[in-house]
Amino acid sequence: MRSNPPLTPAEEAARAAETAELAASFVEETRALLEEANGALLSLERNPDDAEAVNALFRCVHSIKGAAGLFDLPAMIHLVHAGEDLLGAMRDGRLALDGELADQLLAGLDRVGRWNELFRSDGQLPAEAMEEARSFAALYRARLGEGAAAGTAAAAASPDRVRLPGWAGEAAAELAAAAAGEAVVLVEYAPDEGCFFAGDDPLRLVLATPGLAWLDIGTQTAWPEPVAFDPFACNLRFRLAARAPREAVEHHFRYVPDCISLVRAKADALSGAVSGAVSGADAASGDAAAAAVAEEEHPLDPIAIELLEAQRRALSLPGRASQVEDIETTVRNLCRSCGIDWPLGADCAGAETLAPVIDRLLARRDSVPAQAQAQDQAAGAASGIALDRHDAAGERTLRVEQGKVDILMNLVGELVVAKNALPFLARDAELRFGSRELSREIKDKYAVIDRISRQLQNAVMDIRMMPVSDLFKRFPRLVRDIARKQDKKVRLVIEGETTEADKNIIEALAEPLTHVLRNSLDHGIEKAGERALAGKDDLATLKLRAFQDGDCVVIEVIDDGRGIDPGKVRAKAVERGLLDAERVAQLSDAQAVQLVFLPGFSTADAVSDLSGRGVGMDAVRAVVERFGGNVVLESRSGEGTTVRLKLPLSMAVTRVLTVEMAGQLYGVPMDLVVETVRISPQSIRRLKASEAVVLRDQVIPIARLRDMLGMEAHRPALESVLILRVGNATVGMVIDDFGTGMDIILKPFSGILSNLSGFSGTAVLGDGRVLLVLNLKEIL
Amino acid sequence: MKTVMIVDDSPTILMSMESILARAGYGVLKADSGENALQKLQGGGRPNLVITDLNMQAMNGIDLIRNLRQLPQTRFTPIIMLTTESSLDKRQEARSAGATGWIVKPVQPGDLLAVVKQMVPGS
Amino acid sequence: MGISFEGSLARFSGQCAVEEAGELTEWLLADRSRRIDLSGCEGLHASILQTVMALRPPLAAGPVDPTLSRWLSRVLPPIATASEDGAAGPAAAEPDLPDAAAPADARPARTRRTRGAKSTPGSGAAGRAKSPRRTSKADPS
Repeated sequence: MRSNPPLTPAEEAARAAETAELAASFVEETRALLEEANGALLSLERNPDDAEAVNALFRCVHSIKGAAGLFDLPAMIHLVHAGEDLLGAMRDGRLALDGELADQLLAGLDRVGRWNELFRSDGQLPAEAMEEARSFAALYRARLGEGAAAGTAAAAASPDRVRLPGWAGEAAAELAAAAAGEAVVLVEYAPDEGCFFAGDDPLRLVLATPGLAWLDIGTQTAWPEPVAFDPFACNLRFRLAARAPREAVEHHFRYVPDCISLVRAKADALSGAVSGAVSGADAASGDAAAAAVAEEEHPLDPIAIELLEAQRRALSLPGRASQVEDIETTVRNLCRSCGIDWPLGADCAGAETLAPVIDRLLARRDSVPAQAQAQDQAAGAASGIALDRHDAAGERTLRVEQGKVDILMNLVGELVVAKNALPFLARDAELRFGSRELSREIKDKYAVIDRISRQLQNAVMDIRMMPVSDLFKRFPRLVRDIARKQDKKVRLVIEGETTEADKNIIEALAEPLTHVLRNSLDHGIEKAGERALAGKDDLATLKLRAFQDGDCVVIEVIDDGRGIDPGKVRAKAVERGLLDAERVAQLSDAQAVQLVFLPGFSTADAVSDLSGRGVGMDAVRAVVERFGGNVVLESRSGEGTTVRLKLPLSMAVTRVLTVEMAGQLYGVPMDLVVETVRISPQSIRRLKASEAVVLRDQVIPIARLRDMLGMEAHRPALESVLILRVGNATVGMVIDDFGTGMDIILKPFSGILSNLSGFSGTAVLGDGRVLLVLNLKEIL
Repeated sequence: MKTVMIVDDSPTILMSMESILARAGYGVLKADSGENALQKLQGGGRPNLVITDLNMQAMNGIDLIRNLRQLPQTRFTPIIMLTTESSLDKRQEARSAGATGWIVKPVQPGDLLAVVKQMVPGS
Repeated sequence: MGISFEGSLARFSGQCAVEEAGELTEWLLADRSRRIDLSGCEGLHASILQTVMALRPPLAAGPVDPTLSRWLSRVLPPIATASEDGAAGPAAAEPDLPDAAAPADARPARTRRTRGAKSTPGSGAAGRAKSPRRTSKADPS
């Protein structure tokens, strides 16, 4: 990848879209793999000899590692890699699964799962991920036996229960003072010897640490003889405490991640370390304060104990006597990782010295006050990563059947209706029962319930929101297939997949959007040869873009094809008899291209087998408008076409008055209803074919809903008439009987019903009945 | 005045970084290729910081860094690499070639200045 | 700016850069009684700091800069009581003899530190090139 020539915006967008697509697929894949790995691990736990399960587990983890390598996810790779090593050992029979190991592996899988979701939502992992990964890796390596060598097994206890480094114990009093009761981040920074030649100035970096509160500058090795001193070989070692968020400190040292170790210490841990240092001074063992801190704060964790016991066993085996050095190294590393000073010298001690050391270390476990130990076990059980299967910070999702959400929505609607009875009750209280006070109180309560029901309604609407990616994901394949079939070279660029809209809108858009894309592929985008003649790139770009615009969602289909020729459109419109030549000639080019939305229009000379299955742009417009949206088409001849669908983000709640007709419920939009009256049939006057009623000196034409719905006439003693305001006209509509007012979520028709005129859609009521909502503009 | 050398084969990026840095009071030494950068330094230029693109024609950023580390005046100079690559390998490769740090493109003025401030003593 | 060598005193002023570490090392090794004055120093590279920490020259004055004085005081050598600059005081006279041999001894160190720098003259050579700046009468070279 070279940056020259610079990428065009389209190329950049395409690349970004590719990456986004890749990332989305990785997230999906990882989810599935984790699920499989979890299952395999659980069955392996039930049946430790299940070779199949071990293989499956290994394969899953291996696949995750491979896929993660495509992204900048070093922490995930690090963790998974260590897990893979462990599973490899299990697969080779070098290690057997026990309950604890299963816990640790499950915790690791959970952590990867959490990161996966964070990667999905944030595009990156949290700053502390690497530290956590190291902890897990150390834990896993410890199980492999080579382990304690990793050095930080102790830190693995959990991010919340990290062990303070040994030096923090030595400087506990100073640190506590510097921390001044706040949590601090403790950093040890040992720059590379050659770091000056990489432009580093470790001192400058350290002094600029955010919130630097304490600093100790030392050396990595003792200074050599002055004559042998090399000023350009960095031998400095920094230990510091910073009163700043851990992320800020990690970010500050981001260029030297391998040279630092970083721990966040709570204030009480530091002050605990101080008192530990005091009591530690009395300890017979004479261990440094650090050890006391470790002991005070964290008794040896089970892994350390297990490792020590294993080393003790190893030491006592006759054949192992020659491996004392290895055993000592393990124990020494273990001590270091637990923040315990190594009681022996640097030289190899020998079995007879080593054994008592291990015993003494193991004795620590018993020397911890019983209460503290019990506490630790409880805490370990509750919060150690070993059992950290619950996932507090991660994204928690719940799969809910759509039907249940619909019921909830309908119940909210009913609640709103019930709530609307309260103002009437208040009026009654005042007028019929003469209690003004009660009336006011009811009104107050009404205001509260009104607010809550509104919030409830918004919350439910929110549940129904879904990303357009669910809609878009079908298109890459569609575009690819059509392009192949037509021998066109097309690249589909998808943008704004995370844009959300109501589920109904997303679902209803599938067909029109498919049609628009097909139109672009069929009519807009030229074959490679034609494009070359026009001086265009062989590869056509078809862009599908979604974004939020205020409370609307906008979906654009943009192609760089030949565009729509306004002349051709004019001619076709005349030819089809849609408009006369004179009208067409008066249209501007921009207006002329809009003619494609007219019913019965088709720009292709021959209807291809791919597009135009009787659905034209008029159908696209109809669907979009039914949702209260609009379609805009812009086209420049030779340059391409943009179709822009703009729809409301969420389904507006429509308030309707229900009307029962021959047992079937209908809804009339409430905003059209002026009043409801009951009149005697005689007051309806017949004027030729039409009927009218005079109401308050106004002649109002009458329409009978039964007639319009093709039902047989019905003559009650009193006619129920809805006085409606449709457009500028006032109309009286005779119905069987008035129902109640109701808030509904209007669901437009789709499929074969979509052309059913007279109705704007349906709503499912709380009791399961279906309400047909009348489109009065159409039928009156 | 502290001087920052910027090396990038995109005139746009050079221009945008120059304006950001100049507005913040830094002297700017521009080079549109690795070769050009070395040539300019032959003349004795002594930047306080070098910011170089990773992907350039002919001499890429990593090769440039290796060369800069051989020049007396840039042996210890902090060198920041501009990268679009998210790959960790490249960063590690650059680091072992002598890069001090990196900024991920597209460069935000705030990030750029923060890094420059961190890297240039006395700025 | 940087380090200027005046007699047996090295004055640090402003920012003291990594390139000066080589010359400073050489200069301090040449005469272990030489002192440094950090009062004008506003910032120093880690290499300079470690030179001071490793060779521990007597301090004529500590840093005034608040950041440096707050964080570095603990690791800097103690302030020497000698009052005059330039002239080699009694404190400086004592180690004079053993130090006369120091420059020669210092050389191996220098060749070691220029490893891997093929096309550069190396810090040692650079240090010598700058030697006209040295104004010390007591300069042993």
